[in-house]
Order: sequence, then structure tokens, then C-alpha cells
Amino acid sequence: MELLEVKDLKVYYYSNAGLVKAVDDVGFTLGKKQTLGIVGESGSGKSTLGFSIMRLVPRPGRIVGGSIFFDQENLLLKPEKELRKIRGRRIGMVFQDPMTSLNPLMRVGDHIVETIMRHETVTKEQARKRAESLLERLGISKTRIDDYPHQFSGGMRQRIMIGLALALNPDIVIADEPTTSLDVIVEAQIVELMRQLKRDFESSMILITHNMGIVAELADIVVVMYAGKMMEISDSISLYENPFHPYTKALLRSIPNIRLTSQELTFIPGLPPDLINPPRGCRFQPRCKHAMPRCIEEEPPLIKLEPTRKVACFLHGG
Amino acid sequence: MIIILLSIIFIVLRVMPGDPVLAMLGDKAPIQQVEAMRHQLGLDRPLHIQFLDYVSNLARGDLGNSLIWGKRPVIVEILEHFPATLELTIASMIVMLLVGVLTGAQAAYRRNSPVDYGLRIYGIVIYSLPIFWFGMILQLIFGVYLKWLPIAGRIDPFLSPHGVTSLYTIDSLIAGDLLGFVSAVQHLILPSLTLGLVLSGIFTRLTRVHMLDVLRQDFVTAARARGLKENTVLYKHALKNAFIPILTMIGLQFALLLAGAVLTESTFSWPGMGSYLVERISYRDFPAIQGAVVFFAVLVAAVSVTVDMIYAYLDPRIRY
Amino acid sequence: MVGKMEIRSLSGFLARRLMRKVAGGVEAYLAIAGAILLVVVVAMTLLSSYIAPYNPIVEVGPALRPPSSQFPMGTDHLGRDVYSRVIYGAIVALEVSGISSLLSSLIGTPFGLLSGFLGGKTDRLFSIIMDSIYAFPGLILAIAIAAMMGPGVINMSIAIAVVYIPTYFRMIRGQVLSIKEELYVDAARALGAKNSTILFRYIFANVIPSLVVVLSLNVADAILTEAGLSYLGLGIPPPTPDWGFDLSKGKSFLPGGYWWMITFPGLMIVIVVLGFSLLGEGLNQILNPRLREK
Repeated sequence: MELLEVKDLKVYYYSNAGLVKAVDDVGFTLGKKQTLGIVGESGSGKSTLGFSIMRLVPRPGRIVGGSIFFDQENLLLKPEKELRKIRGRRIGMVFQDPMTSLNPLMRVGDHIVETIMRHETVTKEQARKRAESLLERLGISKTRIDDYPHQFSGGMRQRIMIGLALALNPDIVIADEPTTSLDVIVEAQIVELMRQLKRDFESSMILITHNMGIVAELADIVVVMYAGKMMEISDSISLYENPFHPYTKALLRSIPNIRLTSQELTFIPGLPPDLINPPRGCRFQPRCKHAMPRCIEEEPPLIKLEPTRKVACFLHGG
Repeated sequence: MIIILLSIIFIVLRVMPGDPVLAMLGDKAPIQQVEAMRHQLGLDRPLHIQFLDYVSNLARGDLGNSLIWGKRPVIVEILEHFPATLELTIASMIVMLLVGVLTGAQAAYRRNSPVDYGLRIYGIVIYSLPIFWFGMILQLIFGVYLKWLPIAGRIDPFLSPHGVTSLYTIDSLIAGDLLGFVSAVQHLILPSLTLGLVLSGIFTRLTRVHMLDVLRQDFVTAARARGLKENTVLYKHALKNAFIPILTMIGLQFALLLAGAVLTESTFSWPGMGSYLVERISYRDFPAIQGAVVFFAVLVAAVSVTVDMIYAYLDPRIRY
Repeated sequence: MVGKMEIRSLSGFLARRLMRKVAGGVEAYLAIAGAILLVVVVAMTLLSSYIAPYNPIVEVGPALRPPSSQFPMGTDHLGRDVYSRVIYGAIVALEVSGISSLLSSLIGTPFGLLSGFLGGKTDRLFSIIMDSIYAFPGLILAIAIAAMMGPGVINMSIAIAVVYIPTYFRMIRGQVLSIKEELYVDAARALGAKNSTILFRYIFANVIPSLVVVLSLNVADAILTEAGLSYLGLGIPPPTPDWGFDLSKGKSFLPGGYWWMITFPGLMIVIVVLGFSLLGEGLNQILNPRLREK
């Protein structure tokens, strides 16, 4: 069995407006040292997917079906106490907004020390030493270990966040939109940092983002999500060279390319999907250029077209 | 702002309808006596001169002399009664914060559960109780029926700790006087519970609101994502952040504490400033009344300044 | 396993949604509960002479008798019926709190309107005066004023009124300031409406809901303050029935275990105060909806 196996995952939000099917029948596997990219627009369910692996889906969301096998154990059956031992230690998470994901009243070093001491029996001095070397690794001077979060820039805070996720050398790091709140230059630095750390720590990564660019740089496998459903899953090289699903193609087309000066900005026509009353049949069908009558009646199943590629689209069979 | 307050007190006590002298002597007193008293108190002089006098005296810490018994300086009498009020206020504040903040935190954590609704109702109901009535009920139950705790005074009349702070609990501890300590604590329990519990109602609601805000924030989820224990997340991360705006409220609520203290002291025969004020009113001791009210004003101002300073110290975003 | 989880959460979800539709929110309940209490209390007050079995200020039986069928709440130290005194006590409580609240609002509101609208030095002056009063312990201020003015319903009302003027001032001023920012006031001005028209029509109309809430809570507080003043001996002279006064008299008999002289008047205070508090809180939640909590 692989490191992480997600099968038929369903996560719904029981909101006042209605039942929001944020994640509907999603499944994938993640192996050691692999990086999985989960891409999609806002509201595609990708963040919810990330949170559900840690079982941190906020109220009123609930995981209502499926299984998440981590190291051969189903996380959905584990009691909260045991999950807490896994969080931070075997699965780490990097949050989207570095400005709000650190406790403003706690020194930066203490964040790290606290995490280390929670999961391992070490003395405070030992933990501090490790925190110092971790900071250095992240490109932050260790003299700043006692500074407060607000004394750092956004990019540096995100580094700290990443460091926190990696502090205990977890098997998997889930990065939820790690560069979305950062400007492009800092983003490049963070991507480079993540690449290095991935190598050094040998951890697997789940990279959740809508930025196709950084997925291309970091991911081995890519899952394309839309309206809570998987549209395509493929190894990244094939995905970029020869995308199957119309939605994937549209996403790739919408990345501005600075070299093609005459290109118009393409966008995907139509409105984002209503997750309470999703479209009948294929969820992408209202906005799809190639929609056929069948697409409205039936939902296309995920079909394996090549050993490392699956698509859910009637254009490609099924 | 304190100046405004002091001016207002001046206005209230001298300008408003109601002649203090007549109030003191009764309206059947002979004219000469009234005039004599008025002259003695300096109330027959033009108002602006009275005001200058008032301010300059205050600056020197002179609150005039009491009109009854030994005619001692009011400031001395007030300072004698102050420690009792201080002790009561501090003890009540501890109760108020402990109960209020913890209930508020739990209510926020278990949002929309029966516990939440129950605690919110508790907050509203308990704040609606008249402090003195609640005190009397506690006296009835614990003092008269169960006979567990005393219902009047600060300490067993046969013991009298003397000490540095005049706070009986601390003094007896310092002196190693165990009997005195126990007695002092016993006498302190009911009054501080009375005042503290009633006022905790506000803090339940306040803490709940702030906690809800904080619990929604990213760093709380991030803390959970690092596998920290729920209690750690709740108290060390969330509550600590929620506490800062709560702290400012404490400064504002101090006035309520003092007002409540007056009622509590009356109910429990607690010899503090509140009792002093009430007593002097019944004796129509005008300088003492004025002095006490002024002292209260200064106290409130001092506390609010102190709270501001503490706040600035506790929030690292301000400090650095 | 999968199917069960889904069914359970789904049915629970539907059940909760149903409940919410029926309950209509805790807020409404609060307001209704408060309103009911108040209706009962007010009715009781207005009908006091018909409901009360005895004359509250004369001796009607043996002193210090515990509750019995003849005297449902017992008799006090002067042989008066506690039940009748409790009923009649509402008159003073409602009178004083009503008059004082009215006074406070009538003085505080115009000042608040003016101060907020004019801004500048006037605003600063008024604000600092009002803030100073607001910061001071209310009861102590009321005590000071009442002590100087002497006993009586009017005097008490004035004393308590002064304490709450800043509450209205601040609230109104705050509302005025935020409404001032609103675009449609600018729009009205662009259409040429006079200053005073803007002031009264738009701002005042928006301020009324909050005013009602504050009034309700004010009355609740004022009742407590009135009771406190009477308790300390600064209130209505005897023998007028007054809850605070009865409580202070009952206190002397506490050690003897004569519980009924204290319990019933106090409970009455709690009920009335709760009534106004719940009404105010409930109205507040309805009129100023905060983020819908899930």
C-alpha cells in the first residue's frame, strides 16, 4: 500500500443555505517522496480536501463518506486523541495566509519549541537548539528566534510556517495555497525553498493551489478538481504536454504567458458552480465548449486512459 | 478627564438644588446656626472662590475635616477604610474574572450547544440580581441555615491582625498567624462571591464574543494542525489572545466593582469606604461625603490609567 | 460504514434545520419572554389595588409570621402583609425608573445628536464631560446627588437620571457618526436638503431602534439603582412600599432566619429587571443582527 490512499471521499458542509457538497467522491494515492498537486478554482473543494486529510474540516463541514488510509490505517476511524499525535508529527500543514496563521502573542521560536516538545520528550534547551537550526535552514537568522510574528515580513512568516510544518520531519506536508498571499518574487523564493526542503527532508507533499505555474515546478502528479469532483488525474508532465479534460485545457490556457505578446487573455466562460444544486450530469458541462447531450444526462466516470492518467469526460470514452 | 470629574463633583455637591447645610442641620434649625455653619464651611463665599479653594486643597491632598466626633481629617479616615474596600475589590475581581472568563471560554468553545445557551442565560440572569439581595440570600443559606460561614465583618472580633498592608488576609499570612488568616478568608468568601458572581455575568458574555472571534482565526486551526492538545489550543493560544480586549473592559468595569462594593459592604457590615460613605450620609457629614466621593473619582481614574499601561505592556505588537 | 455515516448526518442536519425554522432563533424567545414578564408586571402594578389583599402600610396581622394561607408571603416586623407590599412596591420602582429613563433619554439624545452632527470643539467638549460621568461609578454618583437633594420620588428620579444621560449621549452620538458616513446622507445633501432635515429625518429614524433597546436596558438598570438607593436609606420615606427599603429592613431579621421578608421583594426585583433585560437583549439581537452563527 502507498503512504496515503484516499478513496471515495465525501465532505459536505451543513450550512444554513443548504447542503454544500464540497468534496464528492474524490480518490487518489500518494507515495513516498511524491508531490501531489491539487488544482482548481476557488470553491472547487481543494482546500476542504486538504483539511479533511488532517480531519480539521471546520464546522459546519463533516466528512460523510469514504476512507483515508495513512500508513495502512484509516484516519476516519481514529479517535481524536490519536489523530493529535499524527498531526504535526507525521502530517504537517502549511497555511495560506502567513499574516494570520501565527499566534501574534507568541514568539516565533516558541511556536517551534512548543511543537517539538509536544511530540517528543526533549528538554527545552534541546528543542530550542533544534528551533535555531531550523530557522537557519529557512534562511532566517537564529538571533531572531525570540522575535514576534509581526516583526517579520510576509515571506519570512511563510518560511516560518513551512518550518513549523517540517519541524518534526513528517511523512506528508500539506501546503494549502502556500504562495497565494505572497507577491511574485517572494513566491519564487518560497517555491525554491520548498523544493530544497522537499529534497532534504524527503517528505511527500500535497500542494493545493490554483496556480498552475508552481504545480508545474513542484508536482509529480496532478489532480484537477472542479465543483468538488475530480476531472482529471495525471502525472504532471503528461498533463502539461497533453491535457485531456476540457477544463484542464482551459486552465492551462488561462495562464498568462509573458512571451506571447499578441495573445488575448482567455477565460472560462460561465459562472462558478453552485455547490448546493450542482449542474446535472457532468459538473463542468454548462461551461464546456465540447458539451454533448450525454454530458447533461450522465455524470462521466473516472476512466483510466493510460497507466498514469485518468479522466472523467465523455469525450475520452466511458 | 479627572479634572472634569472633580469639577462635576463640585457642581453636584454645591450647585445643585438641595442645600447641604440645611440637609445637615435639618430645615428647622435656627437661622444663626445655619449661617454659622455656612460660614464655617466656606459656603457663603462666591462660587469661583470656593472652587479655587476646592482645587487647591485637593492638590495638597486635603479633603477637609469631618464634622462629627473627633473632627479628624477626612483623608485620614478614608485611608483607614480604604484597605478593607481594596481587599474586597481584589477578591471580588478574582472571582469575577475566574468565573466570567472561564464560563465565557467554554460557552464559545461549545457554541450553540446546550452548555452555551445555559451559560449565556446564566450571564444575563445573574447580572439582573440586586447585589445586596444576592448577598443576603447567600447569608441566609451559608450563614444562617448551614452555619458554614460568617455573615458580617472582616474578621473574628477577637483577632486583630496588624500589619503592613492592612489587608487582613495578607497580613496574617506574613505574620504566620494561621488562625487570623483562616478567619479573614472565611469572612471574605461570601462578600467576594456576592460581588464577583453578579458582575461575572458581563464577562461571560464578553469573553464569549471575543473567544468566538479568536477561535475563528487561522492560527488556532494551525495550532491544532500541529497536534497540540485541545486545552493548549483553547487556553494558551485562543484565550490569551481574547484576553487583551477583555482586559480593557476590566478597567471600565472597575467603576461597577466600586459601586457594587458599596452595596456589598453595607450588606456584610464590611468596614470599607462604602460603609464610610453611607454612614457619613446618615450623619450629614458634608466634608466627609465630598471627600469620599472625590476619593472614589481619583481611584477610578488611577485604575484606568494603570490598565492602559498594563495593556500596552502585554500586547507585544505595541511594545515592539 | 460509509452509508451509515451519510444517513445519520443527513437526518440530523434536516432535523436541525426544521428546529431552527420553528424556533426562529433564540433572540426572539428572549424578547418574547421578557415581554411576557413585563406585561404581567405592568398589569399587576396597574391592578395593584384590586389584587393586593391588604393595605400595605397598615398593620393587618401578627408581626413576623412566615408564609401561610392567610398571608402568602408572610408578615413583616410591623405586621404588614409582605405580599401586598411586594405588589404595591412595583409602583415606586416603575415610577422612578420610568421617569429617570425618560429624563435621561430626553436630555442625552439631543445632546448626542447635536454633538455627533456638529463635531469639532463642541463635540470634544461634550464628549469629555459625558465620558467623565460615564466612567464614574453610577451608584455612587446617584448616592451623592440623592444625599444632597433629599428623599422623594422626583429627587430620586433626577439623581438616577443624571447617571444614565451619558449612556444615551454616547449611543446616539455613535450612531450619528456612523450614519454621517453613509452615502445617502451625502446624496440627500446633494439634492439640496437642509441640514436640519437631514439630521432629523435620516439620522433620527435610524437611531430609533437602538434607542428602544437602550431604554429597555436602562430601565432595568435604573430599577436596580433605585432599589440600591432605597436599600441604603436614600430613597422614598416610609411607609410607602418600596422593595429596596423592605430589603434593608428585612436584613436586620436575617440572623433570626426570617427569610420571607427578603426573599420575595428581592425576587420581584429580579423578575422585573429580567423582564426589561431580556426584552432589551432580545430586541437588540433582532434589530441589530450580528453575523449569523452556524
